[in-house]
Amino acid sequence: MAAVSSHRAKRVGALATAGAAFLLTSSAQSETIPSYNTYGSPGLIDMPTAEMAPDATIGLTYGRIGDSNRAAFSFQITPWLSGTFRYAGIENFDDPSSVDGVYYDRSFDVRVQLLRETRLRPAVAIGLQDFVGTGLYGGEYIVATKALAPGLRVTGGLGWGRLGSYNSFTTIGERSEVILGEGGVPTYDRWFRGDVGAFGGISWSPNDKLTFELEYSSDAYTLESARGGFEHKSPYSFGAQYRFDNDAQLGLYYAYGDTLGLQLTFPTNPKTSGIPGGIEVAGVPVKRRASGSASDLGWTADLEATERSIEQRMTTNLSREKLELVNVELRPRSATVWLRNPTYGAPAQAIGRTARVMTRTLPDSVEEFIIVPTENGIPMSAVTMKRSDLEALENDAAVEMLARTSITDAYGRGTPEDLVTFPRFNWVVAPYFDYSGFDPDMPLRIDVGARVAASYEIRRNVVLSGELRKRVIGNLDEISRESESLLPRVRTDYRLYADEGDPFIRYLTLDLYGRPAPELYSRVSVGYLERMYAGVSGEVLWKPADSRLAFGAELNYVRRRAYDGLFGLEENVTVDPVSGIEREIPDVNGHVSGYYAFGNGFHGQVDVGRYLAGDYGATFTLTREFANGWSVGAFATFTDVTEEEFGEGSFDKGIMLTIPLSAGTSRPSRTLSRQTIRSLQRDGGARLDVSSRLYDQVRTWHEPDVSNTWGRFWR
Amino acid sequence: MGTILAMNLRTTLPRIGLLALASVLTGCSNDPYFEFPVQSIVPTSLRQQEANGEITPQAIVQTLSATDLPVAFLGVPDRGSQALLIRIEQNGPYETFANPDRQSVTMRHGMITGTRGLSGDLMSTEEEALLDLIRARRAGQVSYIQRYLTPEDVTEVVTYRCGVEPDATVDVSIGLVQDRATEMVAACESPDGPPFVDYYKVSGSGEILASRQWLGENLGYVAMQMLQR
Repeated sequence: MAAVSSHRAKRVGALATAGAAFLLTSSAQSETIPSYNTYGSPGLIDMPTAEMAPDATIGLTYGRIGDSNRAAFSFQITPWLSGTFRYAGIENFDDPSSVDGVYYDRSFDVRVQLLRETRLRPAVAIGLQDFVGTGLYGGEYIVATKALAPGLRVTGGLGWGRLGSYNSFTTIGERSEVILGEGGVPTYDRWFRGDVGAFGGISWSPNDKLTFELEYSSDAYTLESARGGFEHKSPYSFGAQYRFDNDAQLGLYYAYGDTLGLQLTFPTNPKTSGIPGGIEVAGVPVKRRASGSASDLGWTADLEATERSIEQRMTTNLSREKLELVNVELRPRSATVWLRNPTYGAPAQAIGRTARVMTRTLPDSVEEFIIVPTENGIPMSAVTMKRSDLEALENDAAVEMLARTSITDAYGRGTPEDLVTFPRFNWVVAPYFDYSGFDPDMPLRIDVGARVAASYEIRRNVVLSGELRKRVIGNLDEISRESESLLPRVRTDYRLYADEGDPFIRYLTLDLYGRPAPELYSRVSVGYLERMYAGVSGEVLWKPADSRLAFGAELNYVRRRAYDGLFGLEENVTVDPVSGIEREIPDVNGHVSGYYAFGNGFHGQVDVGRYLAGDYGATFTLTREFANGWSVGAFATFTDVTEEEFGEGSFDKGIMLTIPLSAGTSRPSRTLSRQTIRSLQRDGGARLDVSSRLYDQVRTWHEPDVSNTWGRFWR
Repeated sequence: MGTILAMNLRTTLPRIGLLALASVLTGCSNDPYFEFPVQSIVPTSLRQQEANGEITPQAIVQTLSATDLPVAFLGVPDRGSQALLIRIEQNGPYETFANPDRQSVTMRHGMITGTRGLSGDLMSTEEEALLDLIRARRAGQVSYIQRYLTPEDVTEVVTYRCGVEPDATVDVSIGLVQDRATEMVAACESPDGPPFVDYYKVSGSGEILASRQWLGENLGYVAMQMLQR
C-alpha cells in the first residue's frame, strides 16, 4: 500500500494544500480550553474574563495568591452557563474561627455569557462570585473579552463588592454587610450594589503552549491586608502560563507588586475524553436467514428438545458477550429472552448484542424477538424487534433500528423459571477509600482499607447482601470537632461512627423486589440499611416504559445503629455533647418523589417528605447526565427547620459527580463512582441513605435511557 | 520433620499474608464479571495492547492454506498494527471479516463500511453512490457519509462530498488474487471533518482488490488487500 500512496503523492499535492487550508480554518473554529485564574474560573490571573470553557468541561484548579490557597471544582453547565465550587484556606489570617492561623471558607460562583464573541463584537459575561454564604470572596462583575489578533486577547470589566474595592470610580446603591441567616443563603441584598471598580488585562499566546498575562485588578484585598499578611502595593499582576499536552495548565505570577501566585488546572470533559466507542471486542454479526427458510416450521415437531438445545447454545453464546441468559421461551414465530446484564453501561449495547446472538441461534421461522432485561429478577421492560429488520439494517444508521424497536412494559412477562439454580452466592474482596472534607482541623481526611461484599440470592427477587469494611490506614477516626446541634443528632454524630467503627458493617439487608401492578415496581428492604440506621424501608415506583416522568414513594421505619457499626442497635435518642439536651429521632420518615428527564441530558428530581430529624420539606436535584454514564448535579433541601436551628450553612446543599468506571478503562462497565460533595453535613434535611432505590434500576431499561445510548446498539 | 515444618510455617505465614495483601490490593471475586476499580486510575494509554506486529509471509501462507474462505489483510499504519482477517459472515452484499482477537471489518465489494473492536470504530456508512462510481470505474461527484461514536457515546455523522476519478490500469498479484485492476481515486471534503483521499484497485468485475481508505481521525488511513476471494 505504501507504493500506492507514494506514487500518488504529486497528484495529491494540490488537494493537500486545499486540505491544509481547510484544517487551519477548522482548528481556528474548534473549541479550546481558556486560561483559568487562581479562583478556578476562566480568567486572567485573579480577575475573570468573559470566556467560557467548551460545553461540559470539568476543571479542577489549585490557585494561590500570597497566603490564599484556593481549591476549585468548576463545571460548564451549558455552553453559556458555568458554575464553580471553591474551598479556600487563607494562612496567617486573624479570625476567631481560624485554626492554626488558617481561615477556611467555601464559596460558589456562577457566570452567564450574555453575548458570544463574533468577528466584531466581544464576548460579554455577567457573574456572581461567592454569591452564597458569608461572601468572603463576594463580588459581581460584567466583563467583555475580545481577540484582537491571533493569540492576543483583551479583557475589560466592571466589578462590585470585592471586585470594586480598589480605586472605585462610582457607587451604585448601598451594599449590605449583614450575613443572611446562618450563612449559606444567596446574598441577593448585595448584588451589584456599592462601589464600582474597573478591571482588565491582556493575554498573549505566541504559540499553543505559552500564554503571557498582564492584569489590572480592582480587588484591594482589604480583608487579607487588615487581618493577614497581605500587602497591596500595586494593582498590576503579570505572569506566564504553560499548557501541557493533556490540556493541564500551570501559571506562575508576580501579583500585586509584592507576592507570588500560582494556578494549576486539570480540565476534563465527559463529552470528549476517552476512546470513542471503547476498546471492547466486536459483537457477533447478524446471521441472515436463507430466503424462504422462514416458513420452515419443521422444528416445532419437537419443541422441547429444540428449546433445550437452544438454551444451551444461547447461554454459551451470550456468556461470550459477557451477558447472562435467564431463560428463553420459544414459539413458532416468536421468542422471548430474559436477560441479565452484568457488563454493559449502555443498555442498548446489551440489547444489541443479545439480538445478534438471537439471529444466530433461533430457528428461521422465529420472526419476532422479545428481549426482557431483568434487574434483581424483576422484568424491567420488553424490547420487541423484528428479525428481518435486524437483517436488513445491520449496516445502516443505528437510528433506523431504533425506529423499528418498541419498548413496552414487561408487567406479567416474568419468566416462569430461571435456568440458573438458586441460591446464588457472589462475593468480592476489594479495597475502598472514604473521605471527609472541609473540617478546619484537617480539610481532608481519608481512610483506605479493605471491603468484603457478598450477595446471596435466595430466590431471583430476594437478595441478602452486605458489606464489611476494615480500615488499613487513615485518619477519619481523628475527627474531634464537636458542634452543638439544635436538632436530634441524626448525622452530626458521624464522628463517633468513624471513630468506633473498625471494622464495621456498612450495610446488611434483605431486599425483596416486585411488580405489584402494570407500570409499578416495588422494593422492601429489612436490616442494617446504612451506616447509621437499621430498620425497614419500603418503596413503590410508578414508571411507564416510554415515559420521561416517574413518581415514587418511600416509607422507612428506622432504629439508630450502635457506633461500633456491628449488630447493636440504640434507642432513637441522642444527647447533644455541648448542651447535654436529649432529643428523639422519630421512628418513621419517608418521601414522595417526582423524577423527570427534560431531554438534552438534563434530569430533575423533587423529593417531598419527612426527613430523619422529623423535619418536613423538599429536596430539589438537577443533574446533567451524559450517555456514557458521567453526570454532574446539584441539590438543595429546604425544610421547616429554621436557619438558626439548622446552624452553619442554613440549609442542606451539595454537588454530585458520577464517573463511570469505563471512563478509565474504555471497556464497558456498569460500575459508577458517585461522589456527593457537601460543604457541611448538618442534621436538618438529612435523608436515609438506602442503596437499593428503584428509579435508576428501572429507568435504565426504559425508552428514554435506551434511546440515549442507542448509538451503541451495533457496537 | 518438625523443624522443616516450623521453617515452612515461618516462611509460609508471611507468604500467606503477602498473598492476602496482594489480593486485597488487586481485588478478587467469585463473580466472573467483577471489575477492579483501580484499573480506572491507570490511564488506558499506559495499558493499550501493543501493536499486533508485522504479518509474516509465512503467516499468510499458513492462513491461506488453512481456509477456502475469503481472506483480507488489514494494516493500520498510524498504530503500526496489521491483521489477517477471515470472512465469518455475509449479510446481503456485506461481508464481515474477523480475526481470533474478535476484531472485525465489514466490507461491501471490498469497500470498508464498518469496523468493530479496533477502537475508534467506524460504525456505518452511506456508501451506495460512491461505491457505484468506483465499481463502475467512472468519474463523478457523489456524497458519502461516515458515522462514528463520540467518547460521549453519541453518533457523529460526517457528510463528505467526494470527487471520483479513474487512473491507470495495473496488474494486481497479492496472495492468491491475480487480476487486472483499475486504480480509482476518491478525494473527499466535509465541513465536519478533515479531508481525505482514498485509493481503490478495482477488478474488471467491480470488486475492490486493494485499497487505502480513510476510517476517521482515530484509525486514520487503513490499508486493505484481498488475499483470497
